[in-house]
Amino acid sequence: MNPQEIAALRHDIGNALAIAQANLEGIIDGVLDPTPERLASIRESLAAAGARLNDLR
Amino acid sequence: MVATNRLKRILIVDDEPKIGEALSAYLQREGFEVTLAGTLERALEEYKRIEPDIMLLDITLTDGSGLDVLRVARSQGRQTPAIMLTARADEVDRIVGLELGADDYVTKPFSPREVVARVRAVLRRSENAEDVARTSSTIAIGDLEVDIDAHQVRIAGRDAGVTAKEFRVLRIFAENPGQTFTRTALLDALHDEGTMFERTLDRHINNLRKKIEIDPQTPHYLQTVLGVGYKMRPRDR
Repeated sequence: MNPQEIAALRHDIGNALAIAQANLEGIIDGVLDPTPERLASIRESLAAAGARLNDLR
Repeated sequence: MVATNRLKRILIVDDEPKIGEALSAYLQREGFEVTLAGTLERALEEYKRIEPDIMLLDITLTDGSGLDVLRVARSQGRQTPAIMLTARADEVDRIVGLELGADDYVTKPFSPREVVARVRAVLRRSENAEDVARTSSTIAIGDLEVDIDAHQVRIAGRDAGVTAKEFRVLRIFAENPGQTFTRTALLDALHDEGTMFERTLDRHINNLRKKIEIDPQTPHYLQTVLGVGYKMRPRDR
């Protein structure tokens, strides 16, 4: 994998995990409501991060 | 500090709405007035419109970079504090090395609470810096004014026409009125690596006296402390 591809990977995984972490923490800290949409987007973000991680193989 | 009564305005720029929303919820709870922008174009519009007190800028945007917002702000002479957000560790060196003067950075993924803490810390720092800048821009002792920003010395409101070196010497005295400096201590304070010697220093003092004293032989401001060195007259009580 070339440096550009690694940078892109790092960008995608970082963003996906950032969405999951920020929203989950928001729910735990009581600043965000645990709406079905929000919970779904957290799951999607984690799935997207996982999928990109698999690109490393 | 400026306008402490109004809410602090923060501009958050991130092309992931779900990240912006979460940060926004935290910062609103902390009493910030939040504006979100998902593109560089929107960010520049909002920057002009709201004149934020601080910005959170994602580096990678679909139509540009959060650094462009900072660039525009700095080109207008605004020192709006900024914290950069980035998912790429390899960008960090670039941000830190930049002359644009981002105040801090956070790598993704992050804890929103950590971001809030950074925002508070950066705001505190920039407000302190403003206070210092305001109070230190001109030092006045009697009729003598040392204007740090303008690099000018005035006596009774008139430009004394000091040289750059004379200014540096006088500034040290003006910042420490009443304190006696030996020639060595003065050279140390000037951080002069061998370019100024004790005799040169005496000449600068003599020239300064001609420019700021009514009678250079019996100086009112830059006084001789016999056998030791020089001092600036203490401030009037």
